[in-house]
Amino acid sequence: MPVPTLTDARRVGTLGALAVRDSVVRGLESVVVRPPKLINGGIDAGVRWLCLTHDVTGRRGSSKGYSLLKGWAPAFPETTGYIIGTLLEQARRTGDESLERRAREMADWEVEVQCADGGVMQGLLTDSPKPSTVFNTGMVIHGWLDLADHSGRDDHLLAAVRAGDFLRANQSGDGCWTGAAEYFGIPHTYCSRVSWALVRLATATGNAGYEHAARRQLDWVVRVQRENGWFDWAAFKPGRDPNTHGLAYTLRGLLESAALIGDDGDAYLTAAVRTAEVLMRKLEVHGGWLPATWNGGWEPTARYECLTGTVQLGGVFLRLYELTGDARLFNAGLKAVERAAGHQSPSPRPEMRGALPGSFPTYGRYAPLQFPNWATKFLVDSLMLRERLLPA
Amino acid sequence: MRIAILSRYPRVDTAEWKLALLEQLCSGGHALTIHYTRSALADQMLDGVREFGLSTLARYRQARRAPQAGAPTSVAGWAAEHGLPVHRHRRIGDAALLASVRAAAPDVMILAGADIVGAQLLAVPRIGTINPHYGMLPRYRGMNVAEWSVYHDDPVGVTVHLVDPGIDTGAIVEQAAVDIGPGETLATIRAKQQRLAAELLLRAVERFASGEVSARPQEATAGRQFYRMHPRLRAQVERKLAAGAYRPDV
Repeated sequence: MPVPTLTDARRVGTLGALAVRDSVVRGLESVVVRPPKLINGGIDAGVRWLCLTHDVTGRRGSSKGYSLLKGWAPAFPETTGYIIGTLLEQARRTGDESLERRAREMADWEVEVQCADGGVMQGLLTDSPKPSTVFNTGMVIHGWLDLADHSGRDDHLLAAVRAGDFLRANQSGDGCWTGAAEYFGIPHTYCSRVSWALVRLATATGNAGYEHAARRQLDWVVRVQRENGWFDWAAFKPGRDPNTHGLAYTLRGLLESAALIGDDGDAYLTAAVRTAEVLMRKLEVHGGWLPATWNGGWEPTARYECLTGTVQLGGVFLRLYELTGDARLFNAGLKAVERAAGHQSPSPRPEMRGALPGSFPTYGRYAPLQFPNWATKFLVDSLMLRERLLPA
Repeated sequence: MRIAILSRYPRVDTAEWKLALLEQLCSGGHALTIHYTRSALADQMLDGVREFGLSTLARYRQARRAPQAGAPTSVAGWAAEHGLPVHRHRRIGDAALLASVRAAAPDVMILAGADIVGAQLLAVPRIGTINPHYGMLPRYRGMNVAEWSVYHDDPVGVTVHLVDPGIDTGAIVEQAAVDIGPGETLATIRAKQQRLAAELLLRAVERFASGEVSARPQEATAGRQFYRMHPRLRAQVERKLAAGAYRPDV
């Protein structure tokens, strides 16, 4: 199948038009309250776009995304890993078996590119070898386990075990991951998502050692949470303020681990709720949107919105509503998901149609002028969750 | 007693309950001063559109309809009929507003749909500032609390509380639930709450006038802050009322 690609000139034209549109919309938003306009069939459109990210690599992993400056990016092992689960969920929802085939191809490809030490490489798939990194490894374990859960087969379990062993071997004494196996050599609270993968791996293999490792890291995350819900070590890069994307990762890892662990995981759920309540309040008082980055006093440090983080947090609020029954989180979750979904591209151009930009305005600092594949993945996940929770 | 009434433009809700309250206070021999914020038309339009979207104009026109021909439809109209001045100011933080309330030297200030009041203004009334909150404190603080109460099958009511620097956290002066019968909607509940608010405010003033100023403090952790309800949840609440499925746990 020929893969459609905009020419450079058309891309630049589109870029300019989007920048102007976003600036106007942003200006109007400060004056008029306008309910978000969701595109019809947003879930299907998002999944179709995710399939396109697979096609453009020759079905060897999912492209990191589409840039209005550079076009399609190469395949990205980290996010290909967790896109597997999204495709399988849509396959369950629609009965579309072609999505299962794609998911299996992605999982097989992840095994092909798995590093010799069992980990998953940093960054994009290019010719130069890259070291394994903890976070990416955890995200791919999710994909392999999603496929095992879906198919009832354990073809990829060996790869997941090798990856899990890599994670255990690189864990530091206080439970976090740091040093050469982590981005920038610093620990990250959002590796709670890695711990969530390890809890799942413990269940899949019956090896409690994986859960033990996970809980050591989750305990560390709880220890670095402050009374006001703030997490030290939540930022991707040293010296930067954390963004909503990383904060949502942290909360999702905590809450999903808590849900799997049960009563012994209450401290993780409590920690997730504490921070979620702060972000819920911020969302409500900001008129339904969240600035991208925050400082330790919970003051916004950006004027743009990380749509990826907003839609992830919407999903976090909805999941916390399921776990706690707090309808205020349901309320905030609907608002956040719909807020982000209102920015899903309605463009007739397949490179963009159904995709979610990284930021609003599109030229915001998070993935500027790009449609990262994980933004659309989390949009689809959160829209599916919304669909499940809202009575028809 | 000297009573200051603090309210704000734009008028997007009926003034009926406020007029009933003013009538009763006036006939009770209390001296009233009336203070409005957001007096500039541009502010009213901008704030109204920010808060209610493009339905502001329709709400404004609805609010101007008099229940009876010739009756006043606004606090300002009522004040004119009774020879009372209305002090208009742009913003709640304006020094001129503070000065005009200070000049009135009120014993009590009543918030009748006002913006968040700062500590300096709160310090002016001799006894305190009271506010009608359309929910049962301390459990339901914040916005759309009638909707949230129905959602959770809890009683809907009105609480008159002293205003402190927190949001709906001041000590409770008067509180009562409204009866909700078959066929109610959020609009009919709102109308009942408004009538109840006028009654409870009057009762609170009479108590203060008789020298009884006791109020029940709220525990800070006893309640939760609610926010504007999502339209889909609001529609669920309306359906619940229409189906007679709202059963408050008293």
